[in-house]
Amino acid sequence: MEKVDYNYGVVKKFTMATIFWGIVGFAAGIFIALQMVFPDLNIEPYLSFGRLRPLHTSAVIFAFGGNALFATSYYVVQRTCGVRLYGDKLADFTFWGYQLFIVIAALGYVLGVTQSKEYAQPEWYADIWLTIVWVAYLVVYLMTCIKRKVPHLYVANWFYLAFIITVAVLHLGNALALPVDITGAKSYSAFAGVQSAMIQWWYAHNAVGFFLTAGFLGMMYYFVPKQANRPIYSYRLSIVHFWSLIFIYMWAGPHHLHYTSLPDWAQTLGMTFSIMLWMPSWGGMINGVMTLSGAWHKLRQDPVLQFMIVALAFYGMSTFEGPLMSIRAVNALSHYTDWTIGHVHSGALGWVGFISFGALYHLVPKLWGREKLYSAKLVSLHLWIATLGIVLYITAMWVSGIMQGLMWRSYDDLGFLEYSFVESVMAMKPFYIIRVLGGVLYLLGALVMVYNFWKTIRGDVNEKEQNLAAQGAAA
Amino acid sequence: MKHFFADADLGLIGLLFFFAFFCVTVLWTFRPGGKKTYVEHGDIPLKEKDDE
Repeated sequence: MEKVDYNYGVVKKFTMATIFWGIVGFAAGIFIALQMVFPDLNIEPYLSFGRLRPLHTSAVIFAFGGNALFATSYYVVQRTCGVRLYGDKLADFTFWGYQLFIVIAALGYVLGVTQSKEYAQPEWYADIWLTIVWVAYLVVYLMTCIKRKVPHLYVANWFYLAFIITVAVLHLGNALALPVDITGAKSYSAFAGVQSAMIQWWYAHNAVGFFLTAGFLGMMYYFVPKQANRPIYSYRLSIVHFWSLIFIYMWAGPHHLHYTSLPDWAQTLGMTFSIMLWMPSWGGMINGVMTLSGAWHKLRQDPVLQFMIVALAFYGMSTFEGPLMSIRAVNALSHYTDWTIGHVHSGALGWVGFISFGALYHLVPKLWGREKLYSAKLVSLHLWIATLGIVLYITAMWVSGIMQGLMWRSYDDLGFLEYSFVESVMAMKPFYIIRVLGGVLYLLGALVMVYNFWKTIRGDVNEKEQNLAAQGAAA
Repeated sequence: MKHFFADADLGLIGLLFFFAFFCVTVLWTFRPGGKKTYVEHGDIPLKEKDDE
């Protein structure tokens, strides 16, 4: 079979960036979690919680997650299309351009140059730069698909393309703003009042839907079959999964605005579509997990596959919890509490983080031409430390969040609030400490991964594991 | 522009269009005789032109 000269250079760069920003983002998360326990750690003004919180969310979503999506999408599109990535220089531009965007955004957060749009805080000049980089990304990806040698475009590419196109539409819609002065950083949003809120949550929920879900599902649809060396359980189901997911997700945003001045019908629409989302989400999860049907022994033997399947389990859990929390009556308890933070992190740490780690463990030996990873045992160690970290994190936030919600709604016999706000804050302290511990474990796991990658890339051989494997083969 | 958003019929037409599109997609995907094609599509990642 003819060899294809794949462009692995740019994939390697994005892979390194994913690992680097992952460590930065997780560490920032631990620091702001510590600030919640020890308020003295708020170093005004640059390192206050208000400035570092968007730094953390952007670092993990856009820097860690974004680079993981760039790396894997460029890898997957080349290999499933059987051609080299389009435009070497343009692809390189997307790398450097995207890193520049991350640095511009981070500086803006620390220096306080931001607009008040969640997950879209960078100001207008950064938004324009990101648009240019994103269009270049679309051109590289689409042109590679167009010149493909494989007649059918594999389903993972559909998910990646939906992610790239939809994020462009969301970004352009939500970031519409008028700068006060062309030489100044300040701008005002094109939208005001409840329309602004609706546009914001149309953007932000679809950022979850298309950045953190569709893109990572593209990753799942390629790397799970590759790692298991089996085709996806049902290709038909993957098509139904794709169309139903992208049709329904678009309408779910208003569930973030229950009990606000948004009209009731729009709130109900958001809630209804959120509940409907449960089905495609679980269809996709089942499709991924059932890929191992008839070959479950692979799951016992391969810690990289374990990462991917645990990721799918967390995907299933968080996509069950999400529709539940979108129900207005449940939202009355959960909204504005730590329950939301717990929910987000079961999706982010469990689904997005784990499927990325799984993909990275698959990618690194292939990109650097190594036969296998330095140590499978260290992959297993990473898996268990990080899983324990997530469990500590999300259970602490469930307890803390539900407690918060219940304390805020408690009335005494005379109709007065039973607890003051500060009493609810004090009650949460133990859970905030548990959260820090969970975050530290997650970071420790990621550092184990970094060590394993460093040894793998250097070409070191783990003699102990190799001897064990040889003994096993001989026996 | 404003009257488009206020037009109830247009909303219904849009809803029916997208619902019909979805139904046709599902029916097409599960059409009899399509299985072989989808099995081949599913094998794409396992039959790559490899450089290893």
